[in-house]
Amino acid sequence: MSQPYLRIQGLTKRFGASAAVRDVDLDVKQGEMLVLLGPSGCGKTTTLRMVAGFVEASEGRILLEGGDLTGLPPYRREMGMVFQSYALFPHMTVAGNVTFGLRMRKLPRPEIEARLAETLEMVKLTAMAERYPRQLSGGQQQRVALARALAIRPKVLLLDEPLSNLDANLRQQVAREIRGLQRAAGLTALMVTHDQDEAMMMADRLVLMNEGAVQQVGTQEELYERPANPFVARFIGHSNLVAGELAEGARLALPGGGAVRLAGHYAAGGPCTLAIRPERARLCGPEDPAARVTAVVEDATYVGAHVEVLLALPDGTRVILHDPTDGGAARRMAAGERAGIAWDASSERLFDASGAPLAARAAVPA
Amino acid sequence: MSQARGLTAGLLIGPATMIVLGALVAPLALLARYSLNRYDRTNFMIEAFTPENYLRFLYDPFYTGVLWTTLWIALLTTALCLLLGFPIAYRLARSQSRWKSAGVLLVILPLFIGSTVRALGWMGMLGRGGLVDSAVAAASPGSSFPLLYTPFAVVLGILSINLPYMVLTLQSVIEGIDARVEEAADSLGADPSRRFLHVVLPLALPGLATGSVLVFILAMNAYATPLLLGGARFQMMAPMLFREYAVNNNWPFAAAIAFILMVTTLTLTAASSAFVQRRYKAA
Repeated sequence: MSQPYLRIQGLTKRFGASAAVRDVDLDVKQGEMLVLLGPSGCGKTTTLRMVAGFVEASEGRILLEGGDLTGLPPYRREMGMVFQSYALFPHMTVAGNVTFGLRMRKLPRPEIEARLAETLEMVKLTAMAERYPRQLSGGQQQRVALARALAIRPKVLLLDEPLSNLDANLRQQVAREIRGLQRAAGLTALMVTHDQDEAMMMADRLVLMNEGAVQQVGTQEELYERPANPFVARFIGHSNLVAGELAEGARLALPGGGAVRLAGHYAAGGPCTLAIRPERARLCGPEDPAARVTAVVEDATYVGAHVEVLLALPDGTRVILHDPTDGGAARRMAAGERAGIAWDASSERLFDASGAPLAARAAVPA
Repeated sequence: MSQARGLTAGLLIGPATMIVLGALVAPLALLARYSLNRYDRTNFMIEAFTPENYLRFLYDPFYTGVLWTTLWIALLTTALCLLLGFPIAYRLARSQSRWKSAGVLLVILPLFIGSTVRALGWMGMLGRGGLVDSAVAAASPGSSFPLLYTPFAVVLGILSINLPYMVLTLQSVIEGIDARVEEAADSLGADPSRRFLHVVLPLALPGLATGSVLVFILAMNAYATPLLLGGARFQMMAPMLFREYAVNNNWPFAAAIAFILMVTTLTLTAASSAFVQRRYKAA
């Protein structure tokens, strides 16, 4: 395999005694969009700011095309950054903003003009060249910020929550625009977001972080279908987590009484966490032989695509299931009703006490 | 209803308007009138309508010399305030340390001490037998280094009084500049000096103008500092104005000096803000 374009090795940032980022290793391929995802305070932004050079790394290295960037100031890193607040120069026109990096590089005048025209064309802002940032809408300001970063033809494009200041209905469109431009230019990009949908839509690969550490790196499908630990399972797609004691390979005893009949058969034993996605399990009658556990319906809310059903397991653990509406034909569950929950072996994820996923040996027939 | 609201508004701004009219406009009008009167040794002030006080000032090289001295001292101290104040203000504004408020307090603290007391302190430092003089004498016996009663002492004294005003004004303006904007310039390839020149300076320009106008006006009107640190032969406008009024009892001429000082200060202030406004709009 070829050398990664951007390589982050053992990157750590300590503030006093606590570590905001712990031992992060990442490889980014040329032309790839890698998205750092995680809850606020997970260290994703600090990681991005270390790559940009705004935050000094406590430990670790950042390598670009094999060269070490770690000690370089931001102005010598050749990275284009799009800030969450856009951070446009308020005293310069759109043209002034977009050509700033080119003027700092002392490019010849005709070349600056050509690149300005080309970049404004890309973000469809040619008509706005002489406007000031305050005269533009949020979406237009965002495109100026993007154009300003693209104009310098950066080696890596850094995006810090680029969509979070936009109206909800603009977000998808802008996300597609950014993705289109990045792909067309073959740019290597590193983006930070706390929004799962945004990350899913934009990424070639995702990096899920929590408490300063990388939880899992992979494609959308890998993170969704094969979560590395319960945190990943819950964060990506909101899995229901059920804690219990694994016994006889296929029975998860719940601490408050009752048990779950597992779909797979597991070699291990002891405390385990079961992860079941709301849309990968179905409701059935409490006496149905397919039922793996019985529960009491606490609430059912019609949300259009499905009915969101909140149930309590025998030990009180609450789980959420998405019951298909089937065009409104399906019988609606009512609060207080008893129901069975069923799922297939392919939808079942079990993690041991350390959080590592357990492999099922063979499916137990339902 | 709108009439009632107008009445309430009138009542609310009324007292302030009366104070401004009574305490500022009326005395100024009176002063303007006095400046056109004639001085007489026995009667002191005679009703008249003559420009002779203004002409006396403008045609006597002694008085115009005092105006020039005042101007260059004020301009020099303003420039020094900018030069010395900006780095302090920038550090304070961008500081995230828990010592930041202590730093701000250190800047504000000197404002609690009046200019006369501060001037007395400088006299002890700079005078014959003062700290500096004794240190020089100790280093090379026989020599002396009296700095008191020099323009240098006056500049130092005014600078020390005005610097906090400049720092506080600049600090609040720099805090208003998004730090991300500087980072943006940084990531786009601007080294620190060009970042300052192309981003920080233009964005801080209105604050620079406000701070400069503030300390310039203070310096133009400085009284205790030039009087105590400048010595008998050093003349600035405010002490001279007081002497004409209180020692020579020449109220008409003192009034004329007051107006010349005020008009000079206002003209320069207006010119500088017009310049900054044009620059800011164009930029």
